[in-house]
Amino acid sequence: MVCLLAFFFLALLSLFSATHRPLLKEAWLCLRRRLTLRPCETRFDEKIKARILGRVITRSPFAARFLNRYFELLSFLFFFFFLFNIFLALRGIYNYYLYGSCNGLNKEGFCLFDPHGENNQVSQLAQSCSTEPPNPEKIDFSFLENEKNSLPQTNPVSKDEIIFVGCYNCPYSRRAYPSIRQLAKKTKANLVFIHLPTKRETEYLSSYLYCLNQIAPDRFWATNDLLFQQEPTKIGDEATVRSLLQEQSWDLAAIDQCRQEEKTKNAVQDLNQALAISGIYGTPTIRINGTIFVGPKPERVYARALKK
Amino acid sequence: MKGKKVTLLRQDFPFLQKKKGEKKPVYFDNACQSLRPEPVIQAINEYYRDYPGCAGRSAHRIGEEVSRAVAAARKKIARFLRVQHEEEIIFTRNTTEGINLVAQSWPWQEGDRVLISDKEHNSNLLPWLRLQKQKIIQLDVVPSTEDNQLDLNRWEEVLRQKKVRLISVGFTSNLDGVTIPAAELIKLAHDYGALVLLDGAQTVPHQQLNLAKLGVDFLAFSGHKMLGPSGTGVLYARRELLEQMNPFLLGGETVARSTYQDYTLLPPPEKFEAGLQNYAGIIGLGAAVEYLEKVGFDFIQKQEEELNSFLTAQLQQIPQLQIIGPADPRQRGGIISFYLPQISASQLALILDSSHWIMVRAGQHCVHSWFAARKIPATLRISLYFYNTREEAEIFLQALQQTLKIL
Ligand SMILES: Cc1ncc(COP(=O)(O)O)c(C=O)c1O
Repeated sequence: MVCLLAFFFLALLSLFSATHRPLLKEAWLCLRRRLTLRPCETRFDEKIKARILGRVITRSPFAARFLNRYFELLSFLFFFFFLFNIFLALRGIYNYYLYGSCNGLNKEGFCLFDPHGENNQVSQLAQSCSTEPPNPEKIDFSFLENEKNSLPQTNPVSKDEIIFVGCYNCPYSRRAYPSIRQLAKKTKANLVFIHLPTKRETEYLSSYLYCLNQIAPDRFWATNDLLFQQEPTKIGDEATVRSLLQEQSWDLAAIDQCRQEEKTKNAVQDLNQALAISGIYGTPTIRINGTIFVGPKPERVYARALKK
Repeated sequence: MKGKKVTLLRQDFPFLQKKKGEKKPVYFDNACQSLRPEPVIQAINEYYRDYPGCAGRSAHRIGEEVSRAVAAARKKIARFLRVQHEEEIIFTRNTTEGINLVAQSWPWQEGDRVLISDKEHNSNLLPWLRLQKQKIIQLDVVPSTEDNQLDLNRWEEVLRQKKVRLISVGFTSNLDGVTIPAAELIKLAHDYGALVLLDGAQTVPHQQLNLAKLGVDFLAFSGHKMLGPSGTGVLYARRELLEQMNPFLLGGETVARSTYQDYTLLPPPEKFEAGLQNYAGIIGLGAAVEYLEKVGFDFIQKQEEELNSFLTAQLQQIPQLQIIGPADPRQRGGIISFYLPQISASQLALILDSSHWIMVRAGQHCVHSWFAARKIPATLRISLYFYNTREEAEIFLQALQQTLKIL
């Protein structure tokens, strides 16, 4: 029984940590031996104990004596330690399923399913006025109340809302954007897009985006999708973007005129200021019906948040 | 001179050349199975490589070669046991099968009585118990002396009082290594009209037998305890007895002729060797016998006796250690079976294995009845063979001392 439990627990544990794997192998051998063990000969626990003692005795008779004396106690301790580990492991799986991170929503730390922790990675702002360390819990989206009307939206009448704060040449935004777009299309949720230039060279885009949305909100999204598909280096180059817009039959003259307007400058400035004090520290930062996700999560996680 | 011979012989055993780190194997579980020398392994391999056919039934050349090799093995074994007629040698899988063959094939008659001793291996207890339960025979157990020896007077007393058909008794006990005075017992039995079956599993590997002189009626033994391949054995039985017996396995190779209504059995030994046989095993067993004859039983016995004496003397110095059977090691062949109150024999054996790669056996050695009657939980059994050395014995003793200190 003990070996069966140990094998089962270790099998799960070893999914998360490589250090458990040799132990797992041993448990498997024990289990196998247990199955072929002739009942009249020796008991399994006795066998395991002897194997351990046999290895220790040649190195340290003192340690072997200690082990022999307290074997029961030590095995109980190990057993509870395993139980505790299994609890952690199961919680990890559960968290990963819910939030794309074994450690909980927006929490970093090792996770086997996401070994490089990419689901929690963001492209950090190049500069921030905040002196506080990044904290997902301090992110405050209330600025949207004032800003929303001037931002691009897919379906303002929907009661489901996805706010995507991203940057065109940042890897994690680029990873999350297609699944968010897909999700919004499928569920008809209202997708709100906010450009947060984490890199200086894309700051110039803010006024373009504002104007594209002002001039033709129905054409905005196709262009936005295209911008996300461009090579990251191209996004920083205004001339390239301009010729792209031209290719997409945007009226550059009208856009330039819009960009010069005071209203545009104010709107861009207001949004940037609001973003600066929102606590958003990197992209992508996504809010779905009130739940904030920092970093690109698996699509399943976004879909679940939307259903809530 | 003798030391040199052992060193040379050891080189024939591939297992003894193995190493785990610095450790070399100390194999003290020879009563279970012995190790196999290169010539035996070679003989088996040759069969599989060069003439892997059926004996008897196939007329092609490799078939004939197998038939010849099997016949040669039978002849070697007959000669080895000083048996006059080769057909008195029946190949089995082991001692157990040999004893069962007699139990199931003998034409029992109402009131037949069988005697066994009180320290029989399960293989020489269960077949008789079953017959007793089926009311085919009556079974009596004759107790041994205080130090586990056979008391001829007790046997004679029973023989005098009751009509006994068969005595089936361990020739050498795997429990304590004691060899019974078989010749005297056989004479006594025959005087009272009883037959004798000897369980020779622990005897044939260790001493030269002369069955013609011994006059035994049946002798069962295993090949794997005497350098032969696993799952090989022999039942020797006198020809006239074999003729009276009805085999308990029938089928291919056992009949001369069959119709839808009837069959005619072949004479012994064929009628007892049903189905395709373990040719590689039989041929390997022939090679094992040849090897043993080359080593020589004088040497084997001397070697075992010396080592047993050394180990016994050393073990007797460990307080509370109890050796089962006679105190004199010369009466215990290659076996030393002991226990220490409060210490689990199996724990001890397991630690010796994992710490020093020493292979001994712990438990009741399939003689549960003896242990149950004496309330001894288990013993640790050392069983020696001619290739074991003083150096190995010293490793064992040192490891034992070390382990006892921590338990
Ligand atoms: C005295 C004795 N009889 C019978 C047997 C059974 O031998 P096998 O298992 O080869 O049939 C053994 C095996 O240890 C034995 O020692």
